[in-house]
Amino acid sequence: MPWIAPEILLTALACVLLLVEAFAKPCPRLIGFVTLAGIFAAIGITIATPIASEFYVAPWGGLYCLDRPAQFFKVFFLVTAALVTWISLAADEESLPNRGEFFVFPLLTAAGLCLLASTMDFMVLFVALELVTISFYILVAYQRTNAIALEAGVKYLILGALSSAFLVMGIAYTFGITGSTQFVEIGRAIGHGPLPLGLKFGLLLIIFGLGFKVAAVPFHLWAPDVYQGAPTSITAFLSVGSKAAGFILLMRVLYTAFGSAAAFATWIPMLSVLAALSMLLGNLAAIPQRNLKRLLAYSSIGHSGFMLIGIIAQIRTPGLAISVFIYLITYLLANLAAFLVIAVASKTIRGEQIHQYAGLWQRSPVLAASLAIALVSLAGIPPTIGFIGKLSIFGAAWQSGLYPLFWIGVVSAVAGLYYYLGVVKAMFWSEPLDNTPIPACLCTKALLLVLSGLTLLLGFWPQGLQHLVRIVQS
Amino acid sequence: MIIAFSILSVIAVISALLAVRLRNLVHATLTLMAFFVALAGLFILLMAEFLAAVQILVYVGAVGILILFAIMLTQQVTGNVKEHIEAHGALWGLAGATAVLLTLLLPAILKTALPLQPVVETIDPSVRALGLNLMSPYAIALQVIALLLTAALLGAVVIAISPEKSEEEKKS
Repeated sequence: MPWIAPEILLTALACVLLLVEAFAKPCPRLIGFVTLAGIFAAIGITIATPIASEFYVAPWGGLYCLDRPAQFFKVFFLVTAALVTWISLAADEESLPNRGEFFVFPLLTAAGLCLLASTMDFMVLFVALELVTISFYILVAYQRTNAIALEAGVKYLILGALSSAFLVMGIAYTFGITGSTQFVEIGRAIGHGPLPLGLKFGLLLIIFGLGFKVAAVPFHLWAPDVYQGAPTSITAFLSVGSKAAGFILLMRVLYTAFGSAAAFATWIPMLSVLAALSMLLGNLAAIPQRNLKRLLAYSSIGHSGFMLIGIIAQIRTPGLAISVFIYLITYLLANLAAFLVIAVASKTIRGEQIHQYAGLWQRSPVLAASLAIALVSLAGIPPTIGFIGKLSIFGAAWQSGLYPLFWIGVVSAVAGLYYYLGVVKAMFWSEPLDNTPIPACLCTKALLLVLSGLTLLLGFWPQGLQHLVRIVQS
Repeated sequence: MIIAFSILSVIAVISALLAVRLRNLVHATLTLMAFFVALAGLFILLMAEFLAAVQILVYVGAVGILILFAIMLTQQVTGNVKEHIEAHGALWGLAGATAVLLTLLLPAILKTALPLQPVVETIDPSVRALGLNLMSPYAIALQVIALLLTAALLGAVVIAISPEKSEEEKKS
């Protein structure tokens, strides 16, 4: 069964590493490197797996599918996991106890995420989502001697359990009325008739549960505290991996299971409200933030809002969901570069306050330049790839006639410029608190160069991105 | 059928409420176990006798006893602490919950016609169907559950282990 090979590889590697860790006690860095190698192998397998010409192949009675979007998201999740492992190695978080076991959890999370990318059934969706979430609870609370990390872990655990309860309740309603947990079967059972009230209620609860995963307003309350308290590499994983998982699930559930005209009339208004609130609140609440990780948390809430527009636009004009894929690529490059810089810099700076980053340019030009490029890309300013992402989302909104969302998006994007550029200004034009240079190893510099280079290169040459996206679309 | 259902549901709702509201932890655990038993009864009414047995064995037998042990072995949990968690706006929460119940939940339950299950001629033991489903189409979900439990167990150990102990191990 080549379809599920990446998941099997990651799980097996996690089990082997656990046993090796228990009996041989190797150096934690070695385990990190083996983890990295395993994830790269999984990426290779995923890309090499041929995809049947039908829309989706459905082994195991339609529980699992491997189509182009699934493949795209699998590679996306695996690249994220690899970079997160790298950040964790580069940051060399000495404060983390039991560092050997630490690398097992990203592997398990990556396996769960890969499974989520191709699930076509609510049962598999739920167990895979719980695998991901439980691994994240552990990773967030990993520095358990640190009070802030512990607070973040407890908050995430309680709110995450609540959102899972909503999701299960919604699945129960859907199953009770349609008699199936498979997305395709649910879509068939709904047919073209009006949605029964119970099903509408189930859909509402499912959107609650998934809205929590993408941290859309009003289900965003956990994000700032958790992003701030978690180890920086894990914050990066949460902000990119967990969010993208929410989006592929939204696409699968909403397009396949609730894909009738009557269902659209129910969920399009809900998602529109979520998108508008997320864009406005995410970008406006980021302005007064003084902690860089907290600022990025609010900005990630705003980015969820932008991507939700793409999900809605697909319904009005088929084919526009591609803007979500483009946006996710831009978001991955910029966000991971930013968190890598924060992880490396905070070893010397010992903090994440913005004023501590003042004059970073004089202390470490490479870190400052990379962080600046990442922030400019997140803000969506032209020579970077972030501009292409914003352009495709706004283009999708305009093309499909979502004018209110378009204007709210533009206003929030402009508000976003203020706080992103505020950080850039502090790094380049403020006097540093002290002048000790910040060391960064060669690997970190090389990786930053690659991430920033791609951010700029694809910004100048968007055809590369279009080509990639055309492969996904075909 | 209806009478049995009503009695069991009333017991379930009351004991669930008591489990949340009682101040004494041991009493709360006992009412929680009563709730589990009532739930097992409801499963039997739904002809899911295997689930009912599991409910009794796992929840009443294992989980309930485990909670009691945890309370007994934890120091300073007398269960009669006079401290109150300040609940601001409890009234608003109640109003909100009632509004959701009346405007969304009740209409959703009352107006929806659930698809009727065909009347079964012969009673097929539910274990058989359960086993077949778990082993053939849902095998992957079962495997992921195993993985999930491993991750949770590992996480519990990693978070609960005292930092000094892991330091000692490193030195030795």
